[in-house]
Amino acid sequence: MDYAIELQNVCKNYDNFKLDHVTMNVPKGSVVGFVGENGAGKTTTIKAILNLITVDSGKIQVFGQDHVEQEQAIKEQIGVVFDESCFHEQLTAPEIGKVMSKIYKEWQPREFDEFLRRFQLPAQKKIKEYSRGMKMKLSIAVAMSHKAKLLILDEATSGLDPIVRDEILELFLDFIQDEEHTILVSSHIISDLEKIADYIIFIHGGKILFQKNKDELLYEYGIIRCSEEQFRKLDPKLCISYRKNQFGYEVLTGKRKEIGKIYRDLVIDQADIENIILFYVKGVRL
Amino acid sequence: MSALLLKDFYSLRPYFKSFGIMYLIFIVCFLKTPEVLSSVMAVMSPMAVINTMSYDDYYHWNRYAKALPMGSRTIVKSKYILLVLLSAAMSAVAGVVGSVMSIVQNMAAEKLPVIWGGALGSVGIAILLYSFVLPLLYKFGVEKGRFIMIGLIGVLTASIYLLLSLKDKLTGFIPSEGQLKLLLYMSPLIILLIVWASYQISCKIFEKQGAD
Repeated sequence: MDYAIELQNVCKNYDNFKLDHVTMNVPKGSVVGFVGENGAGKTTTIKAILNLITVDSGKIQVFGQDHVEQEQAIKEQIGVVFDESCFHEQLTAPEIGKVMSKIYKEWQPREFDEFLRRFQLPAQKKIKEYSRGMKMKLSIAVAMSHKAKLLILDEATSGLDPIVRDEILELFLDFIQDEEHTILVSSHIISDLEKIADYIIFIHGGKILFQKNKDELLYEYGIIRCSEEQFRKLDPKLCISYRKNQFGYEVLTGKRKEIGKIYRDLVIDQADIENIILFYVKGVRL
Repeated sequence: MSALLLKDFYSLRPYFKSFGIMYLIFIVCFLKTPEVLSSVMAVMSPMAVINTMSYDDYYHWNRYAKALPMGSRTIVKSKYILLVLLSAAMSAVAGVVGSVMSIVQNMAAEKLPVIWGGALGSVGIAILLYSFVLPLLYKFGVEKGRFIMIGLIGVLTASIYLLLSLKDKLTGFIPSEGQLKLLLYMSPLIILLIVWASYQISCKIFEKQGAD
């Protein structure tokens, strides 16, 4: 399998946080959802990939090349969108286009204009007059107007209303139709990832807890709802974590089918990604 | 790099408008002494560079710029180029305006050499001064850097004042006319070396900074 991004044992130490031997891969032609709670290390990992921070150890490759040695060539092919617009607000969208045309060798002015028209971004207005959604659409228009092969989106849809988010997700699905295109999207909005992601990478406390195919994740993981007596009989090797409530126990398992065959009287519901993350973070590990 | 200069010129448009009004006020103030105008303009115009750095900080532009195919050194270099361009352009404009003022007041013969000599010298001084300031701005940020810059200008002004007031006691240390001429001819090279050193320091500071 070809990978657009590969991280191997990447470490970065800060005073109160560290990326701890992060190993993850983003397959080419896929949409990878990068999830984790606030402060888990998503943005730090993305900064490491983009060489915005220097890692203490480990290896990072983008398109099969070292991310530092081939930095300029790699960045020509990456479209980046952060959680907020970084453009000077005295500029208009066409002026941003002129600036970007001098940065990217493969800048596509017609595509950019088409995005402005599609997103209904007024050409005469300065960016300071744009709403948050409009600013984000402009950032995405820029990211997708220079023949980028890889889109890296760091909380790009946070704070947007569902209609705008839906528009943007449609755009990403169009982008990914080309098998040479890849998207790495970090987001708290799990429903967005469930719509478009092929793979989910979960980071917690600077460590990668899992990297799985989304469909397999949803197929394999389940939540067992049981009494204390039933809970005591469960094989811990088949369970990941549990949460106790006033009604009994809720147990996360990564082997839903296997547990269903062994404990036929148990109620096992399919787990969604949000619950999986909650159980990993807030549950008691078995 | 031309992209970054274009971005900065676009974002400085409101600044140029208010600067233009201030310029007109200065013309009136220095009507009788047009040779001072170019000096004032040359030293003030690079403040626009500080404004662009302030905008970059406010909009988190540098984080985004570092993700673009440009390199940190290009981002820093653009500020130095902007400094030189603004100093030279403003000084040239001031020189032309000062020349017109002196011609109108029939003072051309005595004032023109002083006006243009002052304009050229002021460009050098502005570039030199801001070469010390820019690394401080990169290190401490624009807000703190402004105060440090004011302190630096204050120390420089106080030092010049002190030297002038003690000149009678320092006659043994005052350079001769020949030495001053040599210093003047070598000043472009000296300024170039200082700017180069300043650029290298700024690059090191900027590269080490994590993207915010």
